[in-house]
Amino acid sequence: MTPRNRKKPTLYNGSFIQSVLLLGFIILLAWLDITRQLPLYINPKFIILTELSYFLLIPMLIIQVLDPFLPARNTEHCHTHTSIGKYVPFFIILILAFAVPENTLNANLVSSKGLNSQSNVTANSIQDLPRPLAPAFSKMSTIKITNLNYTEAVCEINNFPQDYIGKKVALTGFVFRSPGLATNQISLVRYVVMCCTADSLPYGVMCEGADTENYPDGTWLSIEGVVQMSKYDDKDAPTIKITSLQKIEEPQEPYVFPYN
Amino acid sequence: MEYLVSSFTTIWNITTWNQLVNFKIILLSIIIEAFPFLLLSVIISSLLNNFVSENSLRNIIPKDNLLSIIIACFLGLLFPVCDCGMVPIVRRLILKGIPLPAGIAFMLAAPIVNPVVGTATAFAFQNNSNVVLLRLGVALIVAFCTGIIINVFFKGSELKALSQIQSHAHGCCQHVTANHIDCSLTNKIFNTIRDASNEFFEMGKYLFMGAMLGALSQIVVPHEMLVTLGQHSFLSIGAMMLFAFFISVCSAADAFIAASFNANFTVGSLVAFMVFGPMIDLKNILMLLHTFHTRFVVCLILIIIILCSSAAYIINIV
Repeated sequence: MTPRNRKKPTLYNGSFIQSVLLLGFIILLAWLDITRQLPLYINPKFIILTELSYFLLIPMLIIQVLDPFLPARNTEHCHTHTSIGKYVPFFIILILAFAVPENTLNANLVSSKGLNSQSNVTANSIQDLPRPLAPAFSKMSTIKITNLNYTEAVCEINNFPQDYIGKKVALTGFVFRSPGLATNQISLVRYVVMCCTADSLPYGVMCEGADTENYPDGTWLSIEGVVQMSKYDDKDAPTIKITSLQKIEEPQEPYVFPYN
Repeated sequence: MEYLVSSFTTIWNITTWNQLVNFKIILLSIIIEAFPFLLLSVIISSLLNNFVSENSLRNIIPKDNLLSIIIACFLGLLFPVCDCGMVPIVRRLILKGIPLPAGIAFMLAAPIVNPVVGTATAFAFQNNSNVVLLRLGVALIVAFCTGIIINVFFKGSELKALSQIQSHAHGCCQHVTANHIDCSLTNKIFNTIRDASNEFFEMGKYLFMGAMLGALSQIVVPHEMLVTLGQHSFLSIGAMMLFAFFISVCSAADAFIAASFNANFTVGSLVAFMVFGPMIDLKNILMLLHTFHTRFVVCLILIIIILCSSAAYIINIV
């Protein structure tokens, strides 16, 4: 075995800093869990794993706190160079987590993620898409787009607008303006999250209405309207012509979790 | 003029504040998502260290290197792990005497060739089930060929020496197993927890730094830049592999991101994205560099890039 440096452990060896950081992470995760903020970061079905992980941290914390009093090997082989530098990423994360209060993605990210409705889907790939909602939608007088059917419903309207022209639609989302929209046009967008918000994708539909220009990007609106065809970038694009519009608070569950 | 300047700075401040909020949310979400997996893998790794002796492990694995590589490629079917915590486990397995080629093949294949990721991919590509088979097939081929190449060119363990890896459990059991196994069970449990905690900080550091870079690149790399390359049969592959490297999402989630590019990108590039990302990305490259010799990591990355991109190119032109 390689020769080892047999320095005596000092008061400031790793176990002190590790205890502080472990405690910090336990508090962070438990706080996010108790205040029900975890669904703002990860898909609710993974919350159980996060709970498991902060329970697993507790024995580690106990061992680290007791470390100086335990009779084991550390008196012989102490952990050398316990520079504080290697703990910097952990401190940064904890400080960011507690110091930046906002916890919902805002509209700024839509442009770097790319909005679904502006992608040019080729005709033949559309034909193969499954359309689970189509039969139910054709019977409804007003299509209500909710948390549960959001992704499928928005794709359905964006991909097959011909089937829905003249239909009434009700949905909520936040305002986002892509470059190239006319002044009375906006997109109503929601983030769709699969595992965690790092993989969130903005999904939206284009809407048109006279007083939409009063609402800046990121405002949450609840609208009703009628599906029709309009122009975006000199191409035909499905639009919802707004008939009634209401400004609302950001909902409790801002993200859509499909396939749950 | 003053009014203009002040309103400009307000807008700029709001934008940077919003970007900071988004950065923090993406960063925390990657970390919260990866946290349980990292924790489980350091715990498994320290259990291996304290409870499994080199000899018993060496008796299980086949003597024949080729056979062990093949088995390693399919082990993910039994242990559905994600790529977030692979490196600590593989390091421990190699320390315990698993041959390097088999360890690497396991590290590359297991995060992709497993039931969880297969199901997620099938979900994401409901209209194109071929993609699932292509993804698993290419991953197996890349892992197997990499294992073979490493078997030919690298003889040692390629792990950094123990003294360089400071966290290394300096356990009473570890160095003296051969001489006297008089550690009590309580002692073993204490040591397991302590090793897990040390390794958590050692590996977590790299995971967290990788997550920071990944979150940053999600905010600064604009979508349009990628989309313009999408239909080119060769450049699209490079673009998607680079993208996979930077965004560092977990292998169970990346299929959905790939599916969002379905309309604009070639199939080969999507497969390259979903094979390359779990094998090599920002968050685990730092852990790799910390564990293995730099020369070895560079060779490994080059081998994987060449294999991945040629497989994807073949898919594109066939």
